[in-house]
Parts: sequence; C-alpha cells; structure tokens
Amino acid sequence: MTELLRTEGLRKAFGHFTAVDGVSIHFTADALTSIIGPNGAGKTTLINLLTGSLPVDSGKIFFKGREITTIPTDERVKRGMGRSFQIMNIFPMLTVFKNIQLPVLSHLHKSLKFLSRIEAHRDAIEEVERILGEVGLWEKRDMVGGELSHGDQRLLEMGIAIASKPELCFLDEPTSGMNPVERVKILENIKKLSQRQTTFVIVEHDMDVVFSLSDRIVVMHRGGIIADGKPSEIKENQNVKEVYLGEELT
Amino acid sequence: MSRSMIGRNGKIPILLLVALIVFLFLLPYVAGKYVMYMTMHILVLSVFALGFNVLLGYTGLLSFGQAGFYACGAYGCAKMLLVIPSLLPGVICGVLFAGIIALILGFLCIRHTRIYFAMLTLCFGMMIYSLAWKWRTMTGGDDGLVGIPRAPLEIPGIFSINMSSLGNYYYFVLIVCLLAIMLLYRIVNSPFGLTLQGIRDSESRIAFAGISVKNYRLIAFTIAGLYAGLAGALLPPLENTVTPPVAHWTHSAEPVLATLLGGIHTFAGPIAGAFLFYVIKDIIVRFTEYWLICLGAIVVALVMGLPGGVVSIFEKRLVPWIRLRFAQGGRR
Amino acid sequence: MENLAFQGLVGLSLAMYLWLIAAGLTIVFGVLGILNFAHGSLFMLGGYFAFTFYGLLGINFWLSILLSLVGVAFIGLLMERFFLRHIYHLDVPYQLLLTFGFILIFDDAVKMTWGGVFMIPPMPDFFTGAVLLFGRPFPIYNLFIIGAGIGVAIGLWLILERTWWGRIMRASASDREMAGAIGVNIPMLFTTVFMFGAALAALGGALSTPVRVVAPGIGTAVIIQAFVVTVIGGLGNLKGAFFGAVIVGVLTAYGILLFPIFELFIIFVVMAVVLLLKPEGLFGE
Repeated sequence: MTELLRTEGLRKAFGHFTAVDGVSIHFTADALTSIIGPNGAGKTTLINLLTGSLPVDSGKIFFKGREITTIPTDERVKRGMGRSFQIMNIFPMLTVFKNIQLPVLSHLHKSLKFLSRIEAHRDAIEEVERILGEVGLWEKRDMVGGELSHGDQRLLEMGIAIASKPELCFLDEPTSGMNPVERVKILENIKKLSQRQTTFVIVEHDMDVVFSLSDRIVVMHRGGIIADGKPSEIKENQNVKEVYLGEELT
Repeated sequence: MSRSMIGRNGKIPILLLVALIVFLFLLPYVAGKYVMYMTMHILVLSVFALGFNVLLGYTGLLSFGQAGFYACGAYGCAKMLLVIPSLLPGVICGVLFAGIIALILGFLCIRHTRIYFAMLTLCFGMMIYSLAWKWRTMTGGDDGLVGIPRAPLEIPGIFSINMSSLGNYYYFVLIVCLLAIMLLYRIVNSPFGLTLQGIRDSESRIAFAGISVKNYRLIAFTIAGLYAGLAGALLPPLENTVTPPVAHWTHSAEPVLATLLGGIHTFAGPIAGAFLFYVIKDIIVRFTEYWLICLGAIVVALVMGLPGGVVSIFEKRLVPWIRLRFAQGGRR
Repeated sequence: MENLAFQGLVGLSLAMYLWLIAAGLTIVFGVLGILNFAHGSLFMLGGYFAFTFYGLLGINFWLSILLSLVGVAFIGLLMERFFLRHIYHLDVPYQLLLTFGFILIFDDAVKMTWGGVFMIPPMPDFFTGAVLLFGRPFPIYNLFIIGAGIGVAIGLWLILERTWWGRIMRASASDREMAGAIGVNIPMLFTTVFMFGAALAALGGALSTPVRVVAPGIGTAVIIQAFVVTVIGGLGNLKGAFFGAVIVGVLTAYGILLFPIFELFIIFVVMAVVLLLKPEGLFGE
C-alpha cells in the first residue's frame, strides 16, 4: 500500500470563489480512484493544483514522500506524474507517431540531443510502436493529429499521457464526447494499463464508467470532499445522494 | 505533414538537390560577377532566414529583432578583421559575439510570448541599432566601419588562400553556408527539433512530457542569433564596410519576408524565399523603381490567401505533377 | 534651471505628437485586438494629405486637416473592410506581417504620388513666431500642439465616457463575445473604430506637417515611437498612452539635453524594462 501522493489542507480561490477548500487527500499505488461530483465542485481545479498547472494558495502536496508544492509541472512529470486533458490537448500539427515520440524521447532523457537523427534512436521508435499498438492507433500513425476523429484524439491523449510511464496518472474526463464503441476501447485500455505500474485517478461524470472501473470513489462538492470510499459504500451514502438529488447512481 | 525534405518520401528528390549543389559550385565558370554577387546575397539571406524560422516555424515565436544579431555578427567580424586580417578569426568572432548577445537577450525575451515577445525583440533590435548609430568611437557611428579587408583564409603554418578575387570568396561563402544549412537540417530533424515543434503546438501539453519550455526556447533563440550572426559576419569582407542600417528593424523584416514567401512550415521554405526575394527584387527593379509596393502586395496576398508560402504550392501541386510526368515518361 | 524648464516644455510638445500617434494605435488594439504595424504609415499619409491641401493647393489650414482626416479614414475603411477583417482569427504573427505588407505598399505609393524627395511644408501665417518662455523663444505652434494634444485627450475621454458609441467600444474592448451577445454589431464597430484610429493617426500627421518634413519613411520611424509609448503606457490603455507619451517625450527632450549620444538608447531601455517587469504597461491591469 505505497502512498504515492498526499495533500494537506489544499486551498485555491479565484477572487471570492473558493474552488478548492482545505482538501486533504491521499492516493495509494494499488487502487484506481475516481473523483466525482457536480459541476463546479472543484475536481479539475484540484487536478490542476496537483499537477502544477495552477499554483496553490495554501497547503502542501507530497509526492512519493517529497514535497512538491512549488515545483513546476515538468519537474513533477519527471518524478512520475502524468495527465490527460479534458479539453483536447494533443500536438495538432504533428503526426500521431510524433505525438507519442515526443514524450517517449523526453522520458528517455533524449530531448536535448540536437545532432542525432530522430530515426537513429531505435529504442524510442520501438517504444512508440508498442504504445501505438496498445492504444490501437498503429494504422493511423502517419495521420496528422489535428485530422483525427474526436474518439481517436482521446486515444492519442491517453497515449501521450502514458508515454512518460507515469506512476500516478490523472485522467480528466477521458470518455467525454465518445460514442459507446470508443468508450469501451478507452476503458479496456485503462484497465489494461492499471495492471502495470500506473495508478490512475479519473475525473468522470459517466457513472457507468466510474462504477465499473473504480476501486475507490471520492466525491467532491463545493471545493471539499464529502465522501470517500469503496463504490458500494458510496452508493449507500446519504450525503452523496442528496448532492446528486435524485440522479441515478447506477 | 512530413518535415523531411529529402528522400524517397520527401518533397525534393535527391537528384534535384545534388544537381543544384553542383550548379552552385560551377557558377563562377558560367556566370559573371553580378550573378555571383547576387548568389552570395541569396545564400547569406538563406542562412539568416533559416535561423529566424527556427524561432517562428519550429518554436512558434515571431522575432522582429534578428537584425540586431546580424549587426553583432557584422560589426564583430569587422572589428576583428581590422585588428587581425585573417578571415577565420573574423567570422568566428562575429558569430560568437552574436551568440553571446543572443543568449543574454534571449534570457530576457523568452519569459514572454506572442505579442510581448515580438515587441521585446523589436525593442532590443532597435537598442542595438541606436548603439550602432550613435556610438561613434566603437562603431564609427553614422559612417560605420570602413576599409575592412577581404582577408585571406588561412591557418597559420598550413595554408593561406587569397580572397581578393570574388570567385574565391564566393566559394568560401558557398561552403560555409552549405555546411551551416546541413547542420541546421540535422538539428531540426533531431529529438531537439521535435521538441521545439511540440512547444509550438502546445505549450501546456509539453510540460506534461517533462519538458522545461523556457530552456528550449532559449536554445532556439540562441541558435537563431548564431545564424543571424553568421549571416552578418559574411558581409564585411564582401562589402568592405559595415553601416548602422544593418541593425534597423526594417532589415529584420528581410528574413521574415523570405520565410513568409517560401513557407514557414517546411525546412527549405526560407531558402526558397530568399531566392524569390532577390529574384523578385531584381526583376521588378528592371521595370520600375517601385519594387516595395510589389513586395508589399505579394506579402498581403500571401498572408490573406496562402499562409503556406510558395513551397506549399510546390509540395502540393508541382511535385506530384512532376512525379506523374516522369512516371508516364518512363513508360513511354 | 531655466534651461531644464524650457526643455521640459519642448518635451511636452514632443509628447503631444507621440500621444496623437499612440492614441489611435492603442484604441485599435484595445477594441480589435490588432496591433497595426502600418499605423505610422497612416500618420505619414495624414501629413502628406494635409501638406497637399494647404501647402500645394492653398486651402485653408483647418479645412486641410479635416480633409486629410477624411481621406485617411477612408483608406482605413478599405484596409479594415477588405483585408484586416479576414485575419482576425489568425495569430499575431500574421497580423504583424499583413500590416507590414501595407507599410511597404504605402511607402512606395507615397513615392509614386509625391515623389521620393522630402518636402518642407510652410507654417500657416497665424502660427508663425515665438513666445518668450523661460528666457528663450518657444514657437507658438508648439504651444498650439500642446493645447491640441490636451484637447484631444479631453475629447477622447468625453467620447468614451459620455457617448453611446464610446460605451460600446469600452464594452467590446473588455469582452468581445459578451458585447456581440447583447447585440452589438461587431463588424460595424470594428470598422468604425479602425477608421477612428486611422483618423487619429492622420490628425497627428497633419498637425505635425508645419514642423517637420514630409518624406517617405516617416511611417517606419514613427511606428517605433508609437510602439514604445503604447508599451510603456500599456497596450489598449488610453490613459496609459497619454502618460506614456508624456514620459517618453520629456525623457527624450532631457536625454537630448543631458545625454545626447544615448537618448534613443535610454528610451528603448525604459521600454525593455517595462516589458520585462510589467508587460501590461505602467498603467495597465
């Protein structure tokens, strides 16, 4: 039960609006966690704080035992964090192959090499081929990122996120806007990858996804955590039911 | 979009490239001084523009101050040549001076992006211009530096090649520029080059690939400065003078125009653009002295209609057409 | 001591020219989001038109200025309607490149129409002469300029604060989508604002003709000054443009007096420092 990430009293406000209000939470390596909650609950802001996209107002974050509260994003990634984005954030002008090749080369500490041809780095190329095969984008490897369908771009998003071999990977609404077929693909991928060394923390609205995947569910509301436990517990939780006001949880 | 320009998969067949290089080497035997002179200017502008495009096309940063580094290269080389009349130290001194200034100014500039970056570069370029213009004791002020020798290319004790004939200097410029272009081609097709493109495409995404964006931008900026400096350093031995206008922002516009003409998104775009720039200027000037308005109209037309530049027409229409023709020709 | 005070006045009159140039540039940037590289060329055209009307054709000075405003506003209309409108969605580099193309076109167009030699416009009769200030003769025309600059500042303030059009401009400047959503005709607004900015540039150019030469290439010199002022004051910030102009004008005047070699350099250093430390400008948010 290795603890990967821990926060203490994380707080973030935008003017008068407190998006994240004193959140203390921890994530361990063995459980796939979903973070759910109504819109505006602070889920994406929390992810932004944890990954370094936003600076914290107060509180601390510890990753693998060391404090990372003020460390920039690229440094956190080097230590083992990863992320996919809710709003599409691939490299639109590069081919699918190069989209994956970039983070792979970075992970292999080869990004600064300016005198060698990209093709010469066989280890990177093999790794890219492997990842493309896993997410199922091998046939489309020469297509330009911006030209992919929405579902394929989501797959690519995931591919980029896992290319840096993160130990803790945040997925922000990985299935949004996808049709059922594409959704199944993504879920299979997430299941497959969480068998390896990646621990996923997923922000999701789709309850089917949440309940089929998660070992643990965290419910946020108005910047705070109102429930945290196994899926069966969450289903019965009175507070959660109130918050979702009659919505079907399963 | 494939970045590679050469080879089976690429846009320019190797044969064409080799033919072009051979032609350039034979040029002094088939053409007169004027053509050699113009070709040297095209080569120098190509190097200048290629460096500029590392910033624009590959990293997504528009700099309007590259002339400042060009001037550093020119004045640096000139000052060295006036002390040690030997070509290599002069050129090296110019390039290094430009590179150091680029590193320092780059550190300040890359903290901002987009419009503020453009304005900062414009500002620094003009600062260099104002120094070049007013600091009489260092730069000769308005009159600039004169009497710069076209020093011999020599390694003491090993060889010394006299450069006073235009043909000899032409070969020096040609070889240096070709080497610089080849080096840059290798750089942009390296992992570093790919990372730059990622920075251009999505700054937020690339942080999550573990890349510290500022460092890479600074390196790109320095490379652009070094290449601008090289372009500038090749100038003084040719013209024998260096004057302040080389640092003015309107001179910074030249690599911008060349790159726009030839195409921002391909490696060879700036080279094609440099060629077009001089050809257009040369042709237009024969008919009318008003070549700026034609150039301006072309720029407007390009931005409005054809952001890919001329090379994009080449890629999308001409090359497939050529291939088709040759394929058919083979069968007949 | 008197020297310093006198130089301060010189700086103030210089500042007013800068203010006139910068005002239009910053308004256009604030509302349209476009940094018009060719703004200096519009200034130049204003000068040429005014000079043609009152210097060559002998028309009344004030009428000439009005005519030149109309002429350049019309050119601004053509620029915005047929060219700029189509690139609003493109990145900043393309804007700068397009407007740079216009600089080249205007430079040569001016040469074609008026010849490439610089011309010296005459000073209108009622402005000739000087007034003794701080013991030295100070041109009456410069006093007029200072007055005109302040007048324009007050006028612009009135327009922005008190008129319907001005309010729409301010609303669109801060939130374009919202403005469109509440029914503002954005394309029409953009066109009129651009024409207005062009007219301001032309005003600057026209008013400056009696004291400077008209020549091609003035456009490129002036745009740099305009950039410096708007950056120091804050892009899109009208109040900043006014005070930025005062700062630059006065600094330049003192620079010429005290550090004649480096006065230009000093101005760029100030601009660089502002960009580095507070890129929104001294008065920006």
